[in-house]
Amino acid sequence: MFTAGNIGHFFVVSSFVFSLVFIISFLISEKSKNKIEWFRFGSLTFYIHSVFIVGIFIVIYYLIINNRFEYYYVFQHSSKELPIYYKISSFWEGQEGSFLLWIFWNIVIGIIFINKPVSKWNTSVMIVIGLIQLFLTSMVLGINLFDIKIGSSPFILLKDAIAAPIFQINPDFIPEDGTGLNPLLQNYWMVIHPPTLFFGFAVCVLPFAYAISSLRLGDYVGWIEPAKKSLIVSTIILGIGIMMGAYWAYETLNFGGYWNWDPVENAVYVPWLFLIASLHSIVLTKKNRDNYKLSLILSILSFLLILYSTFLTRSGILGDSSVHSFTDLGLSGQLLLYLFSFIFISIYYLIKRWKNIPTSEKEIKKYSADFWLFIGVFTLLLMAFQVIFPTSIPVYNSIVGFFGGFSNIAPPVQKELFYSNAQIWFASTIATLSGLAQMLWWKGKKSKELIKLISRPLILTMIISSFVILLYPVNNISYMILLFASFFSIFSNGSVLLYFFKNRNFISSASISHIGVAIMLIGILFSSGYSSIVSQNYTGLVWNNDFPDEVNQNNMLLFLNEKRTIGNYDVDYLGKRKQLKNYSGYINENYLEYIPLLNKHILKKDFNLNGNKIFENDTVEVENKDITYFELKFTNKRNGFGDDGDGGNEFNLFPKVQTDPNSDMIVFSPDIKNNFIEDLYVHVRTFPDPKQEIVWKEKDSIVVKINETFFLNDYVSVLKKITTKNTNNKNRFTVEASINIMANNQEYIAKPVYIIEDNKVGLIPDIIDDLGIKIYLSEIIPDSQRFKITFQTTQKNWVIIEAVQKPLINLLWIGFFILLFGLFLSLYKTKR
Amino acid sequence: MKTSYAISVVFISIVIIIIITTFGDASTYVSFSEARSMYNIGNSSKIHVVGQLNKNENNEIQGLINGKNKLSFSFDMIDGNGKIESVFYGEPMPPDFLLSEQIVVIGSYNEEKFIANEILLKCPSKYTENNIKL
Repeated sequence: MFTAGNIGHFFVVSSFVFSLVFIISFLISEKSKNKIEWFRFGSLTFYIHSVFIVGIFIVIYYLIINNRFEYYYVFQHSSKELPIYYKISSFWEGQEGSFLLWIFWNIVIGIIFINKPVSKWNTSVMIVIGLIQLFLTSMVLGINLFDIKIGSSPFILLKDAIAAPIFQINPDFIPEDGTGLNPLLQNYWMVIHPPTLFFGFAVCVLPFAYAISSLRLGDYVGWIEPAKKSLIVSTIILGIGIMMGAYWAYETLNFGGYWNWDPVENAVYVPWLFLIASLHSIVLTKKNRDNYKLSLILSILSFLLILYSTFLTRSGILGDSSVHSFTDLGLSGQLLLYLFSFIFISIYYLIKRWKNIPTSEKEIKKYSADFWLFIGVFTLLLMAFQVIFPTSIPVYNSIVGFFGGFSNIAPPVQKELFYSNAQIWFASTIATLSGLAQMLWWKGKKSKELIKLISRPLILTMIISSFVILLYPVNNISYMILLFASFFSIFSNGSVLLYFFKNRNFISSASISHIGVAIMLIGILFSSGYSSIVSQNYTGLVWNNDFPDEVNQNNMLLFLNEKRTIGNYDVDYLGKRKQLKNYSGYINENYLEYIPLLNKHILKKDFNLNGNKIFENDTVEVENKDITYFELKFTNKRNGFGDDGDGGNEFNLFPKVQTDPNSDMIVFSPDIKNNFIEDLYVHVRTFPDPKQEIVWKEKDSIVVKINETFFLNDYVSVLKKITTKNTNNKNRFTVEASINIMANNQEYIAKPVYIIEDNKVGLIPDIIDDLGIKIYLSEIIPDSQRFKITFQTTQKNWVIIEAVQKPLINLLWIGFFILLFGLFLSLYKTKR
Repeated sequence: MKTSYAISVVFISIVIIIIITTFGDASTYVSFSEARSMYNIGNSSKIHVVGQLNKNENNEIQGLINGKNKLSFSFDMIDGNGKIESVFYGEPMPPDFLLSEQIVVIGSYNEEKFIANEILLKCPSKYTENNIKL
């Protein structure tokens, strides 16, 4: 039968087979006399392979978009209500999808290569890419061969994947809805971060492919230029992928910061450091025609580390030590085979060619630029080793276990301190070396020039860093050294940049990149080292004896419309807000009345939402019912800096809380006020539990006429109108009152309802959450045209927030963009 | 060859330093009873305990107590040896906690309770439910 799933599975198998076909074609092309013909045939089969891959994507998207929940992958990762962009990203929530993403980028790279002129390099690179495609497509094969599971198919039917009892009763059962995308991942970063990261993974194959080709072909010179270019590209793309992840963690996930030294983060940070080390090594090789071995080994290792990180995050081995690794799909064996095959291939060629790789007996001149660059490369390697060695602890336990032993070592408990305390020294060394080596790099300068070049940055560094250290004040030795090293890097690289720009009209892209890194380091130093909680509890009150001490001390309880001081700000909690579909901006929850039957809301009063007028009784849809925003108004107490009004003196923040209707899960996301000097990072710690029953005080009543003004718990109120509604049911009579309440400089509208049905009276109260008031229309007195309004009050609405200042965090992002600019520039220069 | 030897010696010694400090700062995976005996002999270092939520036949989670306003909570955890212990965590319940198939708590005993400083969960990327909600 031709079901979509069968077609998809057919595409997977075919793409796997065709990857084998094109590898063989390119291999023959290398040996054959008809090189061009075989290359063309290889290209053709590669295109067929690519078409099948694209076909897999089309089928999966077809299944996701049509809510085909009989498929396990769709059931697991998507759901009906999911907006289209999250349906797109639900594709790569699972392992199978993320493998396919990687496969997809490989075909993009392959297509670029087969369209280049036929050369021994391009043929050989295609063979290496093919080998990777062969392994990657085997990961989604999903076939059982002699009881061995090969790959996990995204086209498995739910009934084959889950042995739920329902399938015994009804084998054709199809669930109504899928389990959906994890709320933590329902974010636009989920749409762009994984594709970028896997693009980074895919391009890392190029330096590896060139290095292996160099060994295979016995040509140690020809690979240098293209490998250098591909190293720059890999550094850029993987770097962007990593920083996107960091920004995602900072901006929405509320992990507290942008970097947590989680094994999954470490597993991509380490290859990135290796790429940078390889890039510097290959620059040396290019210049001196030396150190071929080091450059080859590093280019190979960068990719092997990508494979190792794939193994770590996907085999389930990190399950005990990581917050967000994938679950085990039972593919660890296959992943291990994958990793070892590539290690074996690399070692085989290295050993085979080791003696032929040219070396020079020339000793590196001590304290020359090359010498420092060399030290820099080794420092980067040590920096990476310091991270990957502890991250691999679970692997050591498994290895010991495999050989029958027992090992129970666990990663260090305070991982942030463990890693940061060591990395800061490596970073300081790198920053210093980047300045030193850059200045010494340009040979043939007169010593006079050199002294001039070095003395100025040194003096500037001394002055500026002592200034900062004394004024801020920085009083931690390792921080001082990092600050000093970073400033040295900025000024020395800056002077090189200026010198060559002025005298030789030449822009040093390396200097720009180094300056970027140094600025990033300063940003990291201040934002992490000097991040401070400003929401200290100064009131002397204990929020709640049941709270942990830390919560009582570092958080601020805000009652609705009662100002309290947080840092330099007066903060006012203005209430809960919702976002509407098709509108930007936030709307007070109290202005909306929920109509459960339609799953929509109607508006209780006219409202101006960011310039868009919406009117009373309009039907609107809330963007996501489970997301609530808490509007907080911040007013800077230090007025008189010239800016009046909105110029940073007053702003509103909307930290977000997302609940999950199916579980107790609550996701808190911060809102951030971005200033150049420092970010104010505000998030909700807790709020009145919506599921908890509200304790209402005693009832109070008042009898009023239409348009009469009265006091409702001290708020000036007017009974505006009374509407009667006739429903189809003749025995039912419905009266709705509309009461305007003026409070907190705004008008609230309460619409309690009075129902008579078969001589029984029912009251539907209306609750104004902001005011903590519940209003009933409790009696109609027809004789005097009066109405009895009854109300109950409760504790005012409140929220507990935490506010953290992150000084100079913008330097991290700015520095990264400067680094990127430098890398792009060098890429542009090598292209010419 | 002198310089490269010097560089290698320094490089290797730093590698050794890294290895030693790693094992020096490394924690251990233990069971509740081992953690208890560590506490009894006055060893207050933080350790890892791997286990699962305590669920009954109907897949209902046992022993879960939410603190006031869900700012803290405690739960029953079964370690690898089947020992059930109450664990207190002074932070709100992590997302996906109830869906986790495996839990790692990092912390130590403090009198009667096991106090977790950190909780790691296995399964946050996926809901591997064996029951389909109808």
